[in-house]
Amino acid sequence: MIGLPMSKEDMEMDFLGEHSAYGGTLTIIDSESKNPYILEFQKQAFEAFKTEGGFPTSKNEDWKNVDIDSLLETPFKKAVTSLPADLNSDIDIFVGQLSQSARIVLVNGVMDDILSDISLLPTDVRFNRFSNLNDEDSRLLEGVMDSGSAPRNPFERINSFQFQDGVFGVVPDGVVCERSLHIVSIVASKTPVVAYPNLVIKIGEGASLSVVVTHVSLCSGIPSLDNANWLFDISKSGRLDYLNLKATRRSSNVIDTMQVSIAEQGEFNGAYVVSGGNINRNEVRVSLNGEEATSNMVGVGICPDSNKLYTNTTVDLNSPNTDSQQFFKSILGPNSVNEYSGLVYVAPNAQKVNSDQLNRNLMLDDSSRAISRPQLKIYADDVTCTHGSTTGQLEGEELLYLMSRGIERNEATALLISGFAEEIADHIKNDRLKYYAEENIRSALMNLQMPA
Amino acid sequence: MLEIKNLHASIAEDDTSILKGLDLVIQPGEVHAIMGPNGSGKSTLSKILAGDQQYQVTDGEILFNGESILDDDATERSLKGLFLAFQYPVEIPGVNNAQFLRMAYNAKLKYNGEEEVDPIEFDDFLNEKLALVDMNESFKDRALNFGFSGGEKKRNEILQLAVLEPKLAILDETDSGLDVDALRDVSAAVNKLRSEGRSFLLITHYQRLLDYIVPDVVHAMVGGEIVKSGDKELAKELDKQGYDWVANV
Repeated sequence: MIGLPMSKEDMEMDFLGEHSAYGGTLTIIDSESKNPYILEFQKQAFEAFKTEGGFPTSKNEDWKNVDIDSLLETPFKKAVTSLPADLNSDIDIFVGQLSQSARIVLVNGVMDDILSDISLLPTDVRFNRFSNLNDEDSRLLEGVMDSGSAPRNPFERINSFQFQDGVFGVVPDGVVCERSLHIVSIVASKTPVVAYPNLVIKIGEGASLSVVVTHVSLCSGIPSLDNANWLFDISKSGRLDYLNLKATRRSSNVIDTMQVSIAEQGEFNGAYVVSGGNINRNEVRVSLNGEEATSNMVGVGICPDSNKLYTNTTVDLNSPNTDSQQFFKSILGPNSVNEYSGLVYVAPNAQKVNSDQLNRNLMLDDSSRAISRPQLKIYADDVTCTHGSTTGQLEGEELLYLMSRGIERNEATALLISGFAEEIADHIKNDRLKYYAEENIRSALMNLQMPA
Repeated sequence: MLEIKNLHASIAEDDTSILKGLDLVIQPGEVHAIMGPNGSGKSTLSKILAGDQQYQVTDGEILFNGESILDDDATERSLKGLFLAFQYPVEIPGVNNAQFLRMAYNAKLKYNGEEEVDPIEFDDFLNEKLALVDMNESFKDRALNFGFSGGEKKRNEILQLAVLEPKLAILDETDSGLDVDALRDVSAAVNKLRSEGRSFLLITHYQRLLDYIVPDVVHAMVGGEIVKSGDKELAKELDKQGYDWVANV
């Protein structure tokens, strides 16, 4: 029997499953094990979603280029954690590669206690599900969540009322983690699913942590969506080095929303290496809330063929003498899209801040498209803020220069493209994260078809 | 070594004629200098010799070691032993200087049927060349010309020349943007690289470079042609009298 095409509203309701979209009631999974604060947070997110527009439309500037319809047309269901044996076996094989690393493994959005192991981190560091927190950590979590902004974008709100159980990590005051922590978000299913990881980390005063987040789809050609929320709170003089790797399959989609709050003299170094996939949207909102807080974000998107990459950053310089650096690049193969939209806001009292924002796009094919919107809103008068953007093809002069040293044309082209991408890794301060980024960039570049 | 006969060339995009019947012969081991005013076609000549496809040769011939190189691309010309030190060396972030030099050096070894060198062997070789051109070893770890000062870029060009050991080196306004000390250092490095089998073509506006690198032959180029040739005294005369003197001969 051939069914009638679904209306957009039907598709939206189908996507949300038991919540019946607009006007419906909220059914919270595992509500009996959740504390009242989390339950209230989820209810508020649902109300905000219902009353403030629901799914994004073409009228929403931050989403108008994102192909939401293609997501809604896919019959996604909320991912479950009980999986068939063969998928569990695939997960074990993947996680086995990290056997020598500290790791938090999220399977279909929920932390797997058996696969996760942080024994290589200092003993004071703790990561637990929201549902397993003691009273002290519950209060700590509430404090962090209160200090962050309420879920602002539609998919962030959806995550906020859909997530089954979040993860809260604490690096106590003064604890410096020498080893990196790998956080792996695995989506595994034999039917189209959407997973909702929700993770909060508090870096204590003078503490530091380096994190590698990897998004993995083990869905074998089946569409998947990893709709993740991350909230990082960096206390005074704390430091977070962060690398986000999205080397995803063609059928997989990732919509990430990340909030970072940085106190006085705190430091956030974020790096993003994205390649492949269908839709990858990365939203980062950074608040520099104390003097001499710094944020340094770099990213490269490598789009071999028909990939859609969206990076949306907001940096709020709320205090004097703060510093923000942003450098995002993309390499665009046939039919690929990259959008960079970045807003830097300088508060009225935030004198003597420094901010640089640069977006560069390298187009390898006439069918590719780059959209670049670096923006500034400055309400202080003694600041140094720059922003810029370039989009173009490989330069003939650069090619001539390399060829005039005896390097073959195709090798020279590959060298220029890899140099364009690897410059981003040069800006990563943490050596271990830099190494991971370089490995992933090189691997991603191998999928690119070199221009004639 | 190099024989250019009646060379006519134009910009490929719009057919603007730049070279209008240029003749030049450089023998092995000779140092020639071409001087000329802005727009006379000096840099275009260097780019055409290197194989820049922005320009098209419409008539004439370029023979390198007796063979036409007109059908060779820039890679092939380099591998045959032709080197151009760029007036404006290109900055390429993300490409490591030492890795790039080893890649270029190995391309030459491979072309000559020799075994390529590994990074450790090459490092020793490169350190010798750095010392030859009086460059700090920290240059190895930097990105190719990226963030280099004008003087550092020119030194890096001479380092590449030292590594690739070409048969003919064209130095396109290597003196531009250099202070007196840097000019002396770069010239000293070039002089160390002079040999019986290696020829140089210096392109410059000013005579001062030729105080340090003394040429065998000086040519005055005006309007896409060589209008006068002579010994090193010609450079001094051009410096004194200006280019109108030869343009009106």
